[in-house]
Amino acid sequence: MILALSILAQLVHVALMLAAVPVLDCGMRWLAAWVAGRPGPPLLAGWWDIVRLFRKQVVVTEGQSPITTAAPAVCLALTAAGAVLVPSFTLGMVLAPCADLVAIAGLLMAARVVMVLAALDSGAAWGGLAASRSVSLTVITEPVLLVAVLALALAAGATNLDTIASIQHDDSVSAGVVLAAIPVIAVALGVLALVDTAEMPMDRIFSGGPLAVAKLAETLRLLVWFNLLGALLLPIGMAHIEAGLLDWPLGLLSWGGRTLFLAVCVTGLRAVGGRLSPAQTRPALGLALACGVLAVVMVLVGMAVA
Amino acid sequence: MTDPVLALLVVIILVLFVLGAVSAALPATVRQATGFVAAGASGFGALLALLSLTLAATDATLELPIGPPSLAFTLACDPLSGFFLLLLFLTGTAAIVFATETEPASDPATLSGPVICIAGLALALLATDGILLGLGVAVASLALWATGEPNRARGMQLSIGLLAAGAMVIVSALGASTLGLASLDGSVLGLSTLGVSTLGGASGSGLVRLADRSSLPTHLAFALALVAAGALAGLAPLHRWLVLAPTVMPARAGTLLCGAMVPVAVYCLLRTVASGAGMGFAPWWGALLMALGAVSAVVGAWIAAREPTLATIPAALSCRQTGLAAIGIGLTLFALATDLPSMARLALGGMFLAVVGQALCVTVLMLVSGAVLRSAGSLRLDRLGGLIHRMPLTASCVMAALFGLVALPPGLGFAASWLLIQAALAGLRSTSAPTQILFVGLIAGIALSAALALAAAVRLIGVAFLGRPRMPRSSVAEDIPRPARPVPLVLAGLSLCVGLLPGIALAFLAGPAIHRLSGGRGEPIRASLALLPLEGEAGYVPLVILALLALGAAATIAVLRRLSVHQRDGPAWQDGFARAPAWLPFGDPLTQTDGRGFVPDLPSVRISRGGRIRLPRLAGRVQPGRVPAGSVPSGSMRGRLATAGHAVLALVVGLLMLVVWIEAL
Repeated sequence: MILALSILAQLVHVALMLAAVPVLDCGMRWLAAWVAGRPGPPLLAGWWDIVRLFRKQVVVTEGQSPITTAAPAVCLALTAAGAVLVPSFTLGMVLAPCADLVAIAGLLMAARVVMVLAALDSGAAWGGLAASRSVSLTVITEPVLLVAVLALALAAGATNLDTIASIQHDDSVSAGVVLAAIPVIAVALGVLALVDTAEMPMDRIFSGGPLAVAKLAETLRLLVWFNLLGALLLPIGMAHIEAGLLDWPLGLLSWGGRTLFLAVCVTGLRAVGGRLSPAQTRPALGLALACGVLAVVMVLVGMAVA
Repeated sequence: MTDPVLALLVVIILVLFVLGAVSAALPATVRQATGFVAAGASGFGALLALLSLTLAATDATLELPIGPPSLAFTLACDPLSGFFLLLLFLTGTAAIVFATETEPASDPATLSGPVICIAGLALALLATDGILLGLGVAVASLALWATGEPNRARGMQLSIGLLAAGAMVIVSALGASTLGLASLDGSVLGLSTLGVSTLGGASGSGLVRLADRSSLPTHLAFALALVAAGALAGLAPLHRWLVLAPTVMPARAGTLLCGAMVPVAVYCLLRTVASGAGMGFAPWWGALLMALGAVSAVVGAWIAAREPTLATIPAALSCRQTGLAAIGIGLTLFALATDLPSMARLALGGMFLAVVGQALCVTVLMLVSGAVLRSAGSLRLDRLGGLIHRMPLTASCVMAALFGLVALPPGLGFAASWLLIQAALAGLRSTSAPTQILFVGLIAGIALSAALALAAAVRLIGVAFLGRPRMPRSSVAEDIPRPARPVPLVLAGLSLCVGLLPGIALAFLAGPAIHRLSGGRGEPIRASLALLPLEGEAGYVPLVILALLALGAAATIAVLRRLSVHQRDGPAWQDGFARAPAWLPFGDPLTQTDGRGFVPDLPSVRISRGGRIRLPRLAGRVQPGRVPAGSVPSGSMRGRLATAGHAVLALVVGLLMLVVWIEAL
């Protein structure tokens, strides 16, 4: 019974992600427009954009290699694999034992690398610039990410997402230790999410259907980050697979609320401070690293005292 | 007891020695046949090693009828040497076949050096005492040194090889005298008491005397062996020679240096450490190895992301793998000293996977670098470009090999890094304050090294194989000759398979070795599809990730094929600039990146001619009393972020001091 429920939960989760991505993209554009006092696009415009792009003729760059041809599909597959593994409304989905935090970080990074290779394949000046910027950011982002989640992994004793999310539900000692460190980790992971979702100039490499797929992957990446932040830091109201179907409406509701809250936060930050420029990124990552180390120290001290 | 497998291995080593010695004197027509015989012998050796790993329940020993009167040489094959023999013969066969197929048979030095090197290294792996081990390493170093032109880096390589050999001999002598273990009873070799004691010609777990465990000479012998094996393996402060060496030797010698000799050096390190663990050394030896390993993993990857040629980048990545292996060895030593055998298993798994990556993937990269030099005329990244169109098979092999070295799921490098991170996490949870800082740094170091290696891999592929050609020669390059194609394909395919089934590969190839090195207690290592951490049932399952990726990619490609409107070709968008003139057929070369801006220069301490030490200049350091051009305005977002970062950093330092103080009370 529980196995069937967990498979069903996984399928519902995948369907939810597929349906939410274009809506999230459009919703954030609408929010940004609303903050700026302009009328935004309708919420379903994301879907229409995809249809519109698929109707357009595809322009292929002269002398492009199979890397560029395969890049949008591979990038979307890598991001989608991450999206399947990160829980949204319930814990204990059928793939939960494979939802390793380090592996998910690796998948997101691999998706970024595929796009960097496509940019380099164009042989154009902007492609080299975009690639070098993206790579030099990735080099700092990965260690910072690992240190930032180390505090949580330390308290849970594992790098599995479900284990980390579920220790915050029980009333053990480690839950208290983690709760104290959560605001600090939130700052670190929030900065990382902002840096990691900075967009690459997709429309210079791709057009038509491949461009639609690449943009979908970009938005899905943001959604994976939202789900990751939600599962790690705010797993309030998340359903448990053992509790049966009755918890699911509450779980779905809380997932919607979390995603809305995070979308409002990101849009608000972007409206107030603008997007992070390359010059602002490194100090921001320094702040994230300092917060990550602080969280690790807090958890270590908490565990030593307890 | 004489084992047929071991006897056959000895025969193979003899055959290789003889072939290597006579091949230079043979006429050119026979020489290619000699190459195939040598490759066959080496391939048979790999099969035998595999057989000894899967079948043999006990260790085989073989007493040689030569040696000093009361101290005859003994050869032995246990699971640890079997594992390394398999890798050695695999890379050796690949190097010989590739050299025979692609290099002109008229060159008398084509074969003899590599073949003698393989035989010497195999002898070192089978040795049970330091003299034979040192002899094998020295012969291999000399054989590699004899190929290629005279140069400072090559001289350094020779001296380091000889230093390592000499140190092994000295350590064996020291080990014999301090431990009082000169007897050779030829009993079953207990891996946990191998190393100094066995290098000194002794075996048998009951013989190690407790009183001698932490004596000064033992520590000195351990330190000396560590320095020698570390230098040969390219461990951190002594890594520079290994990066430079491939530039002054032909690709076949470079292949054997980075893909075969360096893993054997890791083996020497492991033997030495196994002895230390058997003698109950203090955990700080483990901490020292971990720190050295982390530094070399970061420095190796950083150098790889800056190096300009296709030959030095794999060598630097080999240094990184050595660093990862050293981290694994250090974690093992720490785990055994603090009695955590399951943590030792994780660490050893990570170490063995790192060594497999070093042997398979670095070998592919070095072989391919030789092919690129022959066909595209240069090894410099900024003279290649667009090779994927002319050399598709080479490009796919390079990508597969780099995928096995960087930490991206579901690859081999990711599995190794994942196991090391889990072991470090287990260590972090089991120790107290001052050591915990080391483990946090270790995890950050593994992640930084992975990210830098990724930058190096992206740069190598993106600059040399993608984009536009930079020189006319690379636009007419030809792929690897057809008969030699299976060699890199098989090696790259093996690395992909091990990456997808790390649990099964570890259980079959290294299971008995891991079991014995981690103390020999508990259940034997079981084969499983998933890699599991210390606690809980949830882990890393590469096959599930692969299935998700295949499903996602297949669905997306099907949708794209079904719905896309027909295609049209057009020039790449160049920001509105006009097309390059006719005398620049590949476009303006200056508008294409050569990958220099990916990673900044490695900060290093330099000693100037006047003897003054120049410390590294850190980016963004502001001189007092002077506002540089790129300074931070105090009211800006960046300034505020920087101030907040400094404040948090100060808080962290304060808290760390508090923790140390609380622990000291």
